[in-house]
Amino acid sequence: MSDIDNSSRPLVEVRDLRKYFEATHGLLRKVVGTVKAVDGVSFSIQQGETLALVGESGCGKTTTGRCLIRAVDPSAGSIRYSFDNADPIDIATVDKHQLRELRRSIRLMFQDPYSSLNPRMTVFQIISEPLLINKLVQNQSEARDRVQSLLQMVHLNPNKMDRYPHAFSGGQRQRIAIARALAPKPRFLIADEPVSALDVSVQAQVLNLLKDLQHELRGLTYLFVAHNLSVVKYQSDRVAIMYVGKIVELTVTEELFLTPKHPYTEALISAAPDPEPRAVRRKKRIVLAGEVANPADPPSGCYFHPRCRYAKDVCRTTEPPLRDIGTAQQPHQVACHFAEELTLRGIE
Amino acid sequence: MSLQTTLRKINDFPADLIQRRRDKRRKRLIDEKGKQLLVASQWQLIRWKFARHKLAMASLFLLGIMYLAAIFAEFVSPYDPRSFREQYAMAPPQRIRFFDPHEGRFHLRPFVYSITRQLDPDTWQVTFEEDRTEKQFIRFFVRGSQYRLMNIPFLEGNLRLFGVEEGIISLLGNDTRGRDLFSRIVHGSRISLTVGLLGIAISFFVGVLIGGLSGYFGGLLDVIIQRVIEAIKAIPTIPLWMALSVALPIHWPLTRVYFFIVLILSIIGWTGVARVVRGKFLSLRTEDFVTAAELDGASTGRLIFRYMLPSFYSYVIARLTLEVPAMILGETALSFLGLGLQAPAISWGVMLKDAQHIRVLANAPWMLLPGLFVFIAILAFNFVGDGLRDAADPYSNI
Repeated sequence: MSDIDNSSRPLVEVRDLRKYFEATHGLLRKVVGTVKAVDGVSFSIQQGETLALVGESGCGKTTTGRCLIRAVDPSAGSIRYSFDNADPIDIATVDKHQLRELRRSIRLMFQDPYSSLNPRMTVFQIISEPLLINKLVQNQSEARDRVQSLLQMVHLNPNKMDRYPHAFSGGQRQRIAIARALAPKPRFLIADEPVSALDVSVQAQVLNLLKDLQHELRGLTYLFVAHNLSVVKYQSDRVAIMYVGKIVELTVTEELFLTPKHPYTEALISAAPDPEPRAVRRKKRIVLAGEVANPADPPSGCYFHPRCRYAKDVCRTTEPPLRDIGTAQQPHQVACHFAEELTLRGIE
Repeated sequence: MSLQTTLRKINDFPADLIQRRRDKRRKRLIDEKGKQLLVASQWQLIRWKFARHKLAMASLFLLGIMYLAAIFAEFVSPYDPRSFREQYAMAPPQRIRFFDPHEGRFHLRPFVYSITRQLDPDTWQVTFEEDRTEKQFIRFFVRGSQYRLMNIPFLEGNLRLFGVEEGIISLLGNDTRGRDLFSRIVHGSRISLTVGLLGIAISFFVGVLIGGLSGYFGGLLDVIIQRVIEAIKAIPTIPLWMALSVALPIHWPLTRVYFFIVLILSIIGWTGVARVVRGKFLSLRTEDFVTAAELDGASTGRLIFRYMLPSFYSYVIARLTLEVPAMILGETALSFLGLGLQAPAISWGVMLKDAQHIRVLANAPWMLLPGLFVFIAILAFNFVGDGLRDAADPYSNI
């Protein structure tokens, strides 16, 4: 967290990113509905920073992450990415050749280490694949050396590189996935729920490893997609909260947890399990009524109003814009009509 | 410590030591096996799992013998499958004996009694009588009639696996013209057993290609291919086969007819494979490890051949094994109806066609024996297919 470079322009700058999925029907592929998975999201990430993207399932956080590496093509908006402080390029419109280069600099880590590693390939083959495809190594022995040092970096025994993934546990597999992601020496890592599929006991291991690697490889930048606020608390510099395809609150982690300004953030914080059971007894958990809004048919006004306990008439009719209510040093973006009036409960 | 316990300890010592050593050895064996498992490739895992399926292993062994016999048919069969011996027409299967009740003696070398043809002067009924005084010992690796192995010019010979010096040996009886049924069944297996293999090879190739196109590219192409497959599947099999085989010109040489029969049989077969392959491609496309490879920069070809195909090769092969019986039955059915291969050719279906007449069935029921071989071959393929299917996904329970 100490390596954040605030002086220059951001590494990634996302402007008004949109991804609409169209549901088609029948032989002629008639469009019968549009799902606005990501609906006008803007944020920027500094070099060396960790930004967390948090929200319930289906809120568009994974799609946002995948748009940044063009695993999914965005419908609209721009993603400006600066290669080594060169002029930024727009990821949303780059050609195939640039995309290949880009994907060496930006890497994606998957949620489930059981499905993200090919069971038919050995660990060596899996990790060396991005090196060999992109011709980053000259021959097999150089590849073996690289894989060896990568495995050491993620605290795995390099002697086991000829084993198949089925010989490893979930936590070990996720570390193999980290090694694969870091193989082409990327500057930006999109971690899509990197610990959600793991046992709680090994989650901390993987999280700490990711944190240590950020220090070791100076300037490594993370976009950390998660649905669990407690995972994010110690990991990220800033947190963006998403709800039904939009960012509803974005600020520095500490500020978000201490003084949340959006009712949805308040509910998420209260839902996060607390390591101190006594504290849990003291505070009341806010249980949200109803379901997450359907992104194919969102409610009018503020998308959160049907579940919000502070909702007033204006929330039903007018959509609140995302606005900055913080200071110059500490911006605090929030999309709520009553952000200033409400006193919401964070963590004590 | 009391003296007693000390003594007991000393007494127990060797047994304890042996036990401990045994445990150690067992642990080492398990460790070795475990280590092998950790670095075992997919095919090794499949082999190990298949080997545990006893029935499938036995069936595979049986099929191995049948295919070996088909390859070396001229050597395995005692007679030329086309040589007539009118005096032995419709001779029944002979019993192989070791014990001669006439002499009251046991012989280590198996023998058969000589048979002679008898004609009932009133009814003109032909019967064969065993001459219990005349034994014919079965000799192995005897010189018989001249043959060319698989019709290859320089592989001439006359060595046969077994035979008798005088008279005849007919293990499974003779047909209406006195041709040895055993020799004919062995020769017939060449066509009957290879039709299935060749058929699934074609099905596999066409199915993977078209199913792969359909599943990988999707969209309109997928819709069109799927509707075509549905249309083909809707045509009743036997009439389609009949119509197509009737269209084959009668003057064609045997081998060409054979290949076209195989083609006709696989016209339906590929559709099932294509469906499976399409489904696998569709599900694999969204699989994380394929996306990861795509993001690594892997080309389309690399994605398909290194990531997607190896994930379901084994499954498709298992499925195809289960389709071999349908092909064997198809050939048998067509030939039986007289629409497939014709008389000079020898296949199990052609032989069964000879057994169509009621007079033949009444007097020489052993002419139905090719049917038994069809039955055995199909069961064996089914068991092997079952075993392969269970072993096809070695990651299912690891």
